[in-house]
Amino acid sequence: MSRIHNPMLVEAWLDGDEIKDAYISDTLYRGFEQILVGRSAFDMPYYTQRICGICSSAHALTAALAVEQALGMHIPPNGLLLRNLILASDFIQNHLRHIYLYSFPDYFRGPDVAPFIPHSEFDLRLSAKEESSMIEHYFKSFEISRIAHSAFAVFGGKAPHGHGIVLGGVSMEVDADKVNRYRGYMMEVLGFIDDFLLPDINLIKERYPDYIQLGKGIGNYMSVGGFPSPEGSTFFSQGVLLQGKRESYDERHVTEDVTNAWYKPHGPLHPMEEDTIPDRSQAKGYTWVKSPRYRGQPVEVGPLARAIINKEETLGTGTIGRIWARALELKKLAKSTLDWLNRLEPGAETLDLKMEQDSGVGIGLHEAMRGSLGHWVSIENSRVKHYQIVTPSAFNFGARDNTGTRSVGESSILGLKIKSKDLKEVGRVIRSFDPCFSCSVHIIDGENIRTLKIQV
Amino acid sequence: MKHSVKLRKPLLKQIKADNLKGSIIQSQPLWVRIFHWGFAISLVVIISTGLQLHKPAHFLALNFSKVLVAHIVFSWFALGFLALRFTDALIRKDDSLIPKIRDLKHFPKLMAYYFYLRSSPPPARKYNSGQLLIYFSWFLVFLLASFLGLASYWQGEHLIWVWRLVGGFQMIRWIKFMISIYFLATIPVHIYLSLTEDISRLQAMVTGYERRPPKKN
Amino acid sequence: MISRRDFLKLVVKGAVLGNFSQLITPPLAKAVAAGEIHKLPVVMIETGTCTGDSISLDNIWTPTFSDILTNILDWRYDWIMNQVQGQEAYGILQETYEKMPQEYILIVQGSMIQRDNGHYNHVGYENGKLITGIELVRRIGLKAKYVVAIGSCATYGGPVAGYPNPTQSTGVQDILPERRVINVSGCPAHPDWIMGTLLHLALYGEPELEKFGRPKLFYGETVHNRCPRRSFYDQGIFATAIGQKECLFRVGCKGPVTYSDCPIRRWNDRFNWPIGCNTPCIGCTEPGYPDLMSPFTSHLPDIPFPGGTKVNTDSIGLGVLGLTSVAITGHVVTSLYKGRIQKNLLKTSSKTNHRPALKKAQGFHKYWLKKTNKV
Repeated sequence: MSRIHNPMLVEAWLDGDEIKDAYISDTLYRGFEQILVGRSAFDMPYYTQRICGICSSAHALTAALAVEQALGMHIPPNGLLLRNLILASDFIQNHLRHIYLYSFPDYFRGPDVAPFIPHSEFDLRLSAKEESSMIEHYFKSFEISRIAHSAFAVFGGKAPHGHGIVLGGVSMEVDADKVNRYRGYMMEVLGFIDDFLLPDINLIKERYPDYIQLGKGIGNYMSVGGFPSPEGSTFFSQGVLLQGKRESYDERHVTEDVTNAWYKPHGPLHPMEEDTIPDRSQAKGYTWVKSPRYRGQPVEVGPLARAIINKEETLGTGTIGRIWARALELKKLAKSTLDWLNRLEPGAETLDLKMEQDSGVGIGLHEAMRGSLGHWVSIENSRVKHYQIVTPSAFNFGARDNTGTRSVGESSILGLKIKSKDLKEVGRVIRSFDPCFSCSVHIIDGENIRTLKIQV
Repeated sequence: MKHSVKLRKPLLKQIKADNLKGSIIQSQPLWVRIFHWGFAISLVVIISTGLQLHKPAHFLALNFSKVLVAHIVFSWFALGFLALRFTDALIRKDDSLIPKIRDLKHFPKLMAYYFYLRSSPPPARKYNSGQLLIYFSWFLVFLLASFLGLASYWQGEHLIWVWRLVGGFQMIRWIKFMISIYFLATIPVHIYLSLTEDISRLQAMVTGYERRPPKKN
Repeated sequence: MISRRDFLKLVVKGAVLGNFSQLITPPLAKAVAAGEIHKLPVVMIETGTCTGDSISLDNIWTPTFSDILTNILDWRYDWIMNQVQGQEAYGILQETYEKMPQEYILIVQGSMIQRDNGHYNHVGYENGKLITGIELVRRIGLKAKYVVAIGSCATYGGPVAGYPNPTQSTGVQDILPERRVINVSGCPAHPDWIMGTLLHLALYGEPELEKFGRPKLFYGETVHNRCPRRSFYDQGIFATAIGQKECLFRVGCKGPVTYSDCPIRRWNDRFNWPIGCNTPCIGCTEPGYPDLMSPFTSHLPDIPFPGGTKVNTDSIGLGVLGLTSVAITGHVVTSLYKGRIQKNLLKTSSKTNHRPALKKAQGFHKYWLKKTNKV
């Protein structure tokens, strides 16, 4: 499957034209959690960024939060706001790229140049005029997401893999020049959102009404919260919705299981206790993604989950519902960056390097672009002793757990009626989650699938 | 009994010499002494500037382009002194600094002496096995460091194979740091032993002459 | 490959036709169909990567991406961009491989994961079998006109190959030893470096490469030599912690050992770059990154010891020096106690116990031997 980050293999078992079962597998192992052990704790924000090229700052921030908690560091208010600004611009960049570069090509034809040729002709419902304006907007979005990354670089140094987020705050100082520049970039982004993005989403929504409800999740949603203000309130609230019941989030209920993944087996364990030892000989394994669960249940994370936890207006919980939630979040976030900018104090400190201890345990939780990201770290003498990362895509697309329960991603494509040859419908649904395994998905086409035996 | 002898100056010298315990011989020719002290001074400058380049001391606030120039200039000086010593050794056919297997056979005994298990050091040629090892390794290691320094000085214009072999600038830096640590660890040992073992040897490094103990009959 | 003249014609055409929506109008489509326009075919394979280099390339601000796709490159296979998915997308790669040998450029992003014969990284599905990253890169790479490795991972292994290198990753050159790989390193690589190299390949052929196979154009000088904070360094004024405005050498800046033109090129609309952000350069364009460069806040790297512990080089140096001084002090004390120092000093410094005593007698050069006990 193309147009997502990191390799992904979807195996679907068809009965007639309906998907009866599906396995989603990540085909790349890099072993970051093993690499991180023994390194200096101060390197963590930089090193963990290299896990993902499109959501680099989310890893940087979460790693910084975890290590700061372990070492007893406190971030000055200016640093907190700057971090919000850096991460927000990365969010905006990610959402824009995801919507235009990865999601939308499923719904329009595209220009007659590579990499759009050959076209995927199945089920395209836009008129020629809409088509050409869509292409224009597609390329316009390149400029705007570039601008969002430039806003990132104003305080973050460079993007992707910025340098700005360091332990204790942000290394960049605040002055009018930088505030002015960031604001300028953001105004351009906001203009694009209002003039192009929202109309385009509405257009897709009107033309593909069936996809508003297609590809629903299982009704469990989670958000760990994010973008705190200096007063303590958060822009994304924290909470869990499990089978219709709202409850507060507690990281102790997060477990990861590896029964069906290529790792040395262990039962469902909290990230602080588990290990990551790759073992491709595991007979039951089919993916490199572990199976993270909350209270033993799979949960969906991402912009839609955040909107639901925040009790905001949503447009269904299906494919377009997710894209819609992402677009609205984009606008909300772009607006709030202006508030955060206004609250910055030029000249006030952005960085506080004082540490209370050099060993400890820390948990970094923050909403990343794709959902809830958690870093669990234990540090001894300023060196990492244990590091575990639970990514949003692992929540959405993890392996089946020890009870055989499917992840949200696998569940969402069950029962899909397939009419295309290349399982385009599946692609649309899965891409709406914005999966990020750092590579791509190859969908095995229907004929092969029927010959495969179902084994659970 | 009282007798008088008429002594002339040469004779006097003879008597003095005979009555000294042992004899004074020239052990360190002029070129060796020039090399020793010239190299020592250069090395002090090289290592201190190198350490300064490695981790600048705040309170010094030195001009760093000048520190680097000093580092390079004194490296060239040191190489020059080394060349002097080398030529001198070739001319005099001096192999006293080259460790030979029979020298190294004494090494365990020498160590036993340093650890107070023996009362006297084992017999040796001009230098004992420990000295030979240290001096010879200094020679090799200094050449290696200079060579790497030269490679980094040319920034990959020449000696590209060295960069590829070593694996980049940071590795060059690391090896040179380790070499300087080796020097810093062994030079104090050298100074300490030369002060306490045989002070006349030390004197010879200044005047050229050292006293040899009498041959036992 | 297009000739230079073709390209210039093409640029003019592009300039006349203007932006993309006009370019998809019939004239261009016709030109493409008639084969008037030959763009350089490009395929991109992603192996063990974070896709940061693709994202970075998307951040290019001049030329625009639409210009690149229309006028310069035939961006054939790139699974982040392809509209089709699954077998159809993979089919483009196979078609390019079969129909355009020695014509296309292969761009590789991500490290070559070698563990378990590469089965820790599958990138394709062919004839009922999963294709590993190293297998595909080797196959496609052998028939490519140029192989370009972008990003630290593809060039030298990068963060994925960090100690203990659980996936046994290396750079592309290691699996294609028989041909030259053009390295565009960086974590991520700057869009200008990637596009500049590709354009050089399209227009003038292979660029002049420096010692580690990177184009001299971009990697010819160290960061340090062109750093705007160089004057602080030269005067010996150093920052004591990150976030300060002076030279960051003391907090582990790897600028002196890193070849790239970041200081003059800068990142993301040329407004900022890592040192401009008051943080040290972490040497991401160099071979050996990140292990030789980390901790990023210290001058020399950590050395891994058996058993998984890591010790910084500085501590090793201090440890060795400490050990020597303890050893010498111990030896001095023992020697004094045992009397070895005193004995050696006496033995080698006192001139003689029995110097003949002479008494000057009257007359020129006449001496008496003094009476001693022995005589």
